[in-house]
Amino acid sequence: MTQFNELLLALFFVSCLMMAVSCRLLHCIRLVAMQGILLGILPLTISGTFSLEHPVMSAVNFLLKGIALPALLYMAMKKADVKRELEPVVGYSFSAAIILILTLFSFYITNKMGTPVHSAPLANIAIPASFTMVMTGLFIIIARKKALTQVIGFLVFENGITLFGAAAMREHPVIVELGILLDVLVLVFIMGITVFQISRAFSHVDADRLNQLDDLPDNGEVRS
Amino acid sequence: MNILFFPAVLMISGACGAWLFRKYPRTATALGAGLLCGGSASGLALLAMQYIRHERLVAGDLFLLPVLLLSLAAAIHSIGYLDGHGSERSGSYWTLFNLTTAAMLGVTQLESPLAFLLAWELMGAASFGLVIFDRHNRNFAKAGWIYMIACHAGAALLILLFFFPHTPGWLFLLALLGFGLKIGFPLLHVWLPEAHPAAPAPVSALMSGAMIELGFFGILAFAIVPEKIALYGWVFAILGVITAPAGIIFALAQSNLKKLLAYSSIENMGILSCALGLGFLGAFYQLPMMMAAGFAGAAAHLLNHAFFKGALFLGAGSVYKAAGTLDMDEMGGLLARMPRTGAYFILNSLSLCGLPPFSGFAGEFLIYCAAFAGLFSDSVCLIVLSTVILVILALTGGLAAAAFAKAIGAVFCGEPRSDKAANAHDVPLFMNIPILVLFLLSCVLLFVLPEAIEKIIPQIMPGCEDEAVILAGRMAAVSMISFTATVLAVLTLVFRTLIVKRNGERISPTWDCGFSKPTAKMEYTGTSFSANLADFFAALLHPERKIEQPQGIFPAKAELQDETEDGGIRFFWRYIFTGFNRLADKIHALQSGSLHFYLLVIVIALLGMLLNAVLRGN
Repeated sequence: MTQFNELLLALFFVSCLMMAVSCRLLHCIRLVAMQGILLGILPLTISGTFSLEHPVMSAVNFLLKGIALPALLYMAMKKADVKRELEPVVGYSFSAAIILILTLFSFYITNKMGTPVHSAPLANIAIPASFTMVMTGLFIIIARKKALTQVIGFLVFENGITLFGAAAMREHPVIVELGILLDVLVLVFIMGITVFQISRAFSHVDADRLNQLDDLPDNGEVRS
Repeated sequence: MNILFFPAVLMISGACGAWLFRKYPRTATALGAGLLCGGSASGLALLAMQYIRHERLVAGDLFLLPVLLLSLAAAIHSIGYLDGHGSERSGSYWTLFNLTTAAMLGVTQLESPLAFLLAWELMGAASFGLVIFDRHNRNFAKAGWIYMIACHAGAALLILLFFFPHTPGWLFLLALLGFGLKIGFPLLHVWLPEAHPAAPAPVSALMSGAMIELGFFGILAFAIVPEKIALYGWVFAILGVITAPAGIIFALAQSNLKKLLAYSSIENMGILSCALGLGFLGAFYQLPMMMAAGFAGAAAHLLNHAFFKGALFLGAGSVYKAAGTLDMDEMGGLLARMPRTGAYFILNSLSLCGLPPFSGFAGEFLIYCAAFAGLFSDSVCLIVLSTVILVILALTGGLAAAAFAKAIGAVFCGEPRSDKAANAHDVPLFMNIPILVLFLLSCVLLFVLPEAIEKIIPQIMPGCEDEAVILAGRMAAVSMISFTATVLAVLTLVFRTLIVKRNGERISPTWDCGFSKPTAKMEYTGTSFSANLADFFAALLHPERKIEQPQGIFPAKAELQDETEDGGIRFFWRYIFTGFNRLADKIHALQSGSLHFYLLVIVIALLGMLLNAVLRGN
């Protein structure tokens, strides 16, 4: 069982790295979906104990993060008719290097902090994995231009938090977890709709050009 | 309960009444001015009653007296002044005026730091409203801005002073900066020459005569511990030695009448600071004569300055109302057109210069006494300081006389230099009465001074009984001389009138230097009068001079313009604020408008905090 868990956690790291180097939007959405599915399996296996909350959590994670939200993103991508390529601010190889450094940083921090007392058996790997996911999410938000990638980055960020919750606290109150999930759901809905609206009003969905929404006449790219 | 509860309530209800009836300016004026005058008058009555009952004064009362007197005088003057200068907004004027006065009462009477600070802030805020009241003045926005910054910077320092424990040294430094912003110590004075000319004249009178002195009250009340008097003495004396001549030299170079008066206020605060310094040093070096004379001189000069500066600002207000300008180079000949205002203005300014036989001389004489007493100490430093103060006081007195000779000469004597001045008419009598009353009060002060010194000094400074008697004797001599001089002057006038009545008066033009038809353009203007002195102090003043020399045999045009901007702004604050601006521009690069960059900054900050927490935790 331990080896299976280790494999799952390793997949998280791999997904983060792949996210950094992938150049297609669809690929990114698939990776998010994969993380969601992994998060659906993990609570069942990692805690070592069994209670009624775990299957509920698993099911919700699986359905929402593994299926519903990626599907939503996919639909938003189709509807907004965005170009499938990502527009990176930072190059792919450099991104990979940064993610590697962030991974090392998370291990370092976890070592320094030590794992919580009531944590799961594999917490010394799971917590760095969650940190890595949080930071990867932030990195994607910062270093990719498209509005949709911001949503993806946010989802990765949230996955990291869920993983941390699952790994660090065994008696994790399920209600908190579900509350966070509800927040994410609403947020992704709103962002999906916003992306759609932006693409309808403008010729692009680049978040970095939204600062041109001032009333100066020279950069009005508004479709009349 | 404090005796000033009742007057303060009257003033605050006056403020409320004026605000409620602001749509009806006449009602608002009646309510505001009436309740303010009632408050001030009842305050004076209560103060007198308290003095008669207990026969002793508290330090706050000394500072309270100018507030009450000047608010009364300024209120009466305001009624006339506002007519035509914003009378339609007199509701807000009286609201702010009442609030300012009530806050000043609070400043002198409230003992708890929080209450004091609130009153202090209210005083600054309400008077800020008054400074920007006169919207015809084109500088009102700049002046208000500078004044507000000065007020709030001072308040910030005072919050530090009151609410954090300090050693006495830090306490004094903070008080010196925070209250010094009100007083106008060098480099902290920049708001005075801006705010005073912009504010309505009665407000300038109240601010210059009573408010800036409250800064000294603040320092004395909150930052003084007995162990450190040597430090206080040296700091006050040295600050005074710098402030007094610098203030009066800048006053000399001004062509705006109220700016001149504002700089003269700085000078007088310098003299006051010298006097306080001498008093503290006298206490430290065990020279009772120096201590008694120093503190008595400070008190007398404080009252004198309040009377005269209040009266002069009111007089300047009357001049402004009559001539429509404050530029002295556009006035002239106003003594013939407004004889009462002119006469009172001249009397007050002669007295402010410290010339005998007026009351201003008595105050400065006490300070001279203190400095002379310092010459007989054993400490070389003190002897040097006393000598320097003597020289500086004499220099300042001379320069003040020159500055006011310029003001009087340019404003009241000669022929009018503009149509506005030529068509000026004297203001109503009730506007002149406060000015005269303030002058008469100073004369009363001159004659009660000997008795006051004999009675009050032993109460406040035990062990100075002999010195008090000696000083009182000297002051009695001074008032005797003044009395004799006054009698002689009156007799001369009477004789002159009698002789004129018997022999008749022959009226002929002034000798016109050989010109066949002299015009007002040939007169000395105020600027040209002071140009020599301004040249002499050019190293300090750095006047910007535009000069067009007369050329050829038949010169057509010649021009001389001196503009002296305030040194504090030009050589100190401007660089500081430009530096801040540059720094702010650099920081502004962070606000690029790029979402990604903002997020990056936030993430870096968060990661930094995380790392810090982790490293600290171990």
